[in-house]
Amino acid sequence: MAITLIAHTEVGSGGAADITMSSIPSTYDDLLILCSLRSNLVAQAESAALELVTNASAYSITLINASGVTAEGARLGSGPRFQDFARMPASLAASNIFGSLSVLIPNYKNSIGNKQIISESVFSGNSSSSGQWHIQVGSGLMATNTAVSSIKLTGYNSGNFEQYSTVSLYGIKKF
Amino acid sequence: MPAFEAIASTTLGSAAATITFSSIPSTYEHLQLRIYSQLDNAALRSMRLRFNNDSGASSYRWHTLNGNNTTVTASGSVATSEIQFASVNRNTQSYSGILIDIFDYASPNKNTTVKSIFGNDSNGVGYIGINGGVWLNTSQVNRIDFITSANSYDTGSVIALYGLKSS
Repeated sequence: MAITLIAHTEVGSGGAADITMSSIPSTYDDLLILCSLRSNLVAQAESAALELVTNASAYSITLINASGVTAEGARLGSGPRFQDFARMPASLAASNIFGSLSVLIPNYKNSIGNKQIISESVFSGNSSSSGQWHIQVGSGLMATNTAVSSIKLTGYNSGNFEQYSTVSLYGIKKF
Repeated sequence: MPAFEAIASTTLGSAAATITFSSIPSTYEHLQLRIYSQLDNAALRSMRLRFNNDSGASSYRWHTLNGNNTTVTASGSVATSEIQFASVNRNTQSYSGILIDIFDYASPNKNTTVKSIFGNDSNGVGYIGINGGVWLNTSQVNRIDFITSANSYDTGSVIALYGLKSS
């Protein structure tokens, strides 16, 4: 197994409404996205959304969550992107706190089957109260056989990514 | 150019209460730890870590979503002196598999967040979970100490540290 950097972005001082990486080469077997994110939404937390190809109803995701000290499950279906699948700190969260998110997209370039993602995210704030602790593990389906050639991360509730948010995209090639 | 490089690893020839990686370079974007370990006690215990030898009583927060046999719970701890990244119950020769991600560990603008996923089935009891934790400090991580809630890491435990590049 070899892991190669494809692209890396750090958000500048003005913030960013989205983080998009396009022209992803088809020379790998799997994609791995590692993110450190914070939003300017006026709230304790913002949800992340991920679009791989434009399709109004192709995306669904099943989640297990911990919100504070409450364990839950959820399923979100038929959306235009993977929505609300990870939580990141927002403007009311303690300063310098960023959420961690990883997304694996196996066999991203195949044109025969649908695509699956596996995601893990944590937002570890100062306190367990007021939504400052979140853990989410997701299994998502993009119900189209279109090969993935771009990724677009946004805030689900239209918050912008704050300065110093980072996204690293890696390609994994099997032996 | 490969973006995933080995930095250091330890395989225990005898039990140890603390395992330390020091002089971690700042030249990577992210760190990842891959762990195969058990503790030298059969009771329910937790595996924990500290950064840069900071044992301050309120330097860390951690929380968990975990399954113990058929029961799923969420819990956590505020104002602690370490981050709990796995909870395990050892049976004979039942080492846990653990993966820890530490993103942007060298950023001077971020407190250090830890994400871990762990599992252990010891043929009678099983644990699985994902943990989050934060070190409330923006210093670059240059040292990681692995400690426990009690007892020691057992003989044969392996911890490997990797770096992921961003350029």
